[in-house]
Amino acid sequence: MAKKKSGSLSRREFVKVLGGGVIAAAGPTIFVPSRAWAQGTGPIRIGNIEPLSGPYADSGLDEMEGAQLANEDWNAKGGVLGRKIEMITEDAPSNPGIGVQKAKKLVERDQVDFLTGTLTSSVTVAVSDVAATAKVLFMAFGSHADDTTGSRSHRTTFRTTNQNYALSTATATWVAKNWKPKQVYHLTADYVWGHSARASMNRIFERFGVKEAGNDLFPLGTSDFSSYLIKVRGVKPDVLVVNAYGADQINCVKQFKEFGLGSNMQLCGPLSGTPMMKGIGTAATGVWGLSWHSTVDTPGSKKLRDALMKRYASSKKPEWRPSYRHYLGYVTHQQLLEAIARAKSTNKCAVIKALEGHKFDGLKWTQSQWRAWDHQNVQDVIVAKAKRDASWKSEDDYFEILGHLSGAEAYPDEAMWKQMGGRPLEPMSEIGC
Amino acid sequence: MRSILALAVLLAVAPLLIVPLGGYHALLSEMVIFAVFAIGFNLLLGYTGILSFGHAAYFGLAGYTMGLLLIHSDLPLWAAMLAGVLAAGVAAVIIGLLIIRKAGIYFAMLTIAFGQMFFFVAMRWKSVTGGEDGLSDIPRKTLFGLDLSSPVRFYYFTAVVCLAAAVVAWRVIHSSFGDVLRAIRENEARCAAIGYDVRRYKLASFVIAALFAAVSGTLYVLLLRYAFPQTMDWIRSGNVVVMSLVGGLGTFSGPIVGATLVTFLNNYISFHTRYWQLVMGVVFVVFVMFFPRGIAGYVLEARRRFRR
Repeated sequence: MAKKKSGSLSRREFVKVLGGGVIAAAGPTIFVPSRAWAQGTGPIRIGNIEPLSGPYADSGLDEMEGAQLANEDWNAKGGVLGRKIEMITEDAPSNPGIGVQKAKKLVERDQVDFLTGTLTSSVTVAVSDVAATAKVLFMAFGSHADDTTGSRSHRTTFRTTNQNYALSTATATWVAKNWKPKQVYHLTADYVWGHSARASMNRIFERFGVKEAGNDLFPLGTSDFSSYLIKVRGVKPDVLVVNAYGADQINCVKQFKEFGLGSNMQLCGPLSGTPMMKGIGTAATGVWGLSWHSTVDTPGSKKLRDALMKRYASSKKPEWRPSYRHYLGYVTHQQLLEAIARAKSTNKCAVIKALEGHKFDGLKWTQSQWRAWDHQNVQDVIVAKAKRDASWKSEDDYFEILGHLSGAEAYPDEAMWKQMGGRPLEPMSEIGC
Repeated sequence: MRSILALAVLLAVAPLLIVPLGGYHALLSEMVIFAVFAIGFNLLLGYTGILSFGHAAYFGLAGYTMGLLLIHSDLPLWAAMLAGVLAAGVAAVIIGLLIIRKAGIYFAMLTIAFGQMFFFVAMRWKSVTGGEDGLSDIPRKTLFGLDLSSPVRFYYFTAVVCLAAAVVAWRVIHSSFGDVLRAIRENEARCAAIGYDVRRYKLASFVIAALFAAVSGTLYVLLLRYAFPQTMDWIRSGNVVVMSLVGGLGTFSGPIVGATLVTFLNNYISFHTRYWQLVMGVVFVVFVMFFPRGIAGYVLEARRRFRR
């Protein structure tokens, strides 16, 4: 009994020591009182929400790095309106609830002037709603879903990346014109993004007289595509359309190659990018829609690529190149800070006005524009061929750019946007302007 | 009753402490909301000795039900909350009846299976639940004319609910019903031999825990004004097990300590490192290996020794 007692006593002491240690270590950081900042004189605070853990962690990190570079550029010039830019990044893996919590935290506790970031559509629209309620300007980097600037649009939200409709239009147009297929077969991820991608592709295909030979819906997170691919082999379409993103796209394209279907038909899809091609590896094939790639040959893109390489390449593998996620983060922050400078104010009403309808160099071929009535960044859509052969040297070589469709041609007009369920933005008075 | 008083005082002054600690009022509400979940869960895991990995299903079901009613009907807030809790209660009775005869790992596996069923329904039934995008813009409305829109007011609302939940749990624990639950935990066969209908008591404990989860779920959805599928997946169910273990199983204050601490740390560490899940994992492993009785368990023991 006595023995047992002394044993548990020492354990108690251990607890004390450990507890004391934890408090001693954490105390100085935990007990920092929330900083007092005077509005208008301190730094401009931007709350950035990214998935830094979970399946999209790599893309989230890329976006953060891009945004960081834009901030650093401005800070090196003395900031905006004489104020430095301070970015607070919060991790929200692809879970809208955490996105909402983090957005609330940034607005309530850190009292940020602006919100930026997010990648998946579900987190983006959730954060967009929080921002609208809190009347804070939110610049969304990612989310390709049409809803983000359509049926779920807000006056306080702008979206940088290409929307689905535009990506599908550009890809389908290129495929119809160059491959002249008679019939196509769709493999579609069974959720809103997949469905809308297929509908947008078919809209173009119909215009060119291309028939849909069939469509299979597969659940998100499918790893085995053999049953679908066997069916496709039987139907013998000219083109297989893969309406899938992320792991689904990776698995589908890999198995397409394993089945040897590449010799019978072509493959295309509305959206891909460096993150997917890393997973697909040597099975890379197909023609895809892109928002940006490191080999875009405009002077602006070359400059951005060099700047990103200079800033980040030393900490990466030698074959590493900036991804389109870097581009999205950089362009968004660059645009936001420039708008603050134009508006000569961090007031959201003034910044929204400065952004709406603003035309700018999106570092691609034709000018980009923040469309006033849906807050979409209307821009060139790139069509590129994926490849991975013996000549592959760096991530530059994942894609060979085939061409691009200008924003004016690729994007839905107002009538089409309404038909797709577009919701008019709230009047300025409703967000306190 | 001293613990209840202490809790009331703590809940009352917490808004003054949270900001200097690096938190904010919405976080405080979240800590309190998960405390409600954990208090109920402790009755099941800590006092009855039944491990469920599916109670987030009732948390989410209540939240969704309330959210849908608030969006699509004119029901007042209290009625929508009540409807959400009742819906979860009914689901818990039905599922409980089906699975309560199983024990141990089989029971735990079945709770995961049923929990995930709810998760997938929420994920796939797009036209009703909004699918992956969830239900957004849920109006908070007013509670008997009381405006809950400010974070501090909403916190005090959750604090009152939490206190009520603690009182109910206290009564359950210190009733003869609570004694039977503990008897089941200690020796189920002997308890049955004495003549208690063990299955009915276990079912009751299962449903009570589900009701606490449901109350917590409605508050959570009101806090975020947003319902989403991940409110009901097994990860959230697992989280409440972690909270209970860290705080101290089978102690009255354990779940409250565990839920508030884990929620705070999750939020705090995730701001400082992208590997926060790793840090939380290590914390959990350390507790299970070295402090299996949890924080409250050791504090209580230390106090007993000190008094002696």
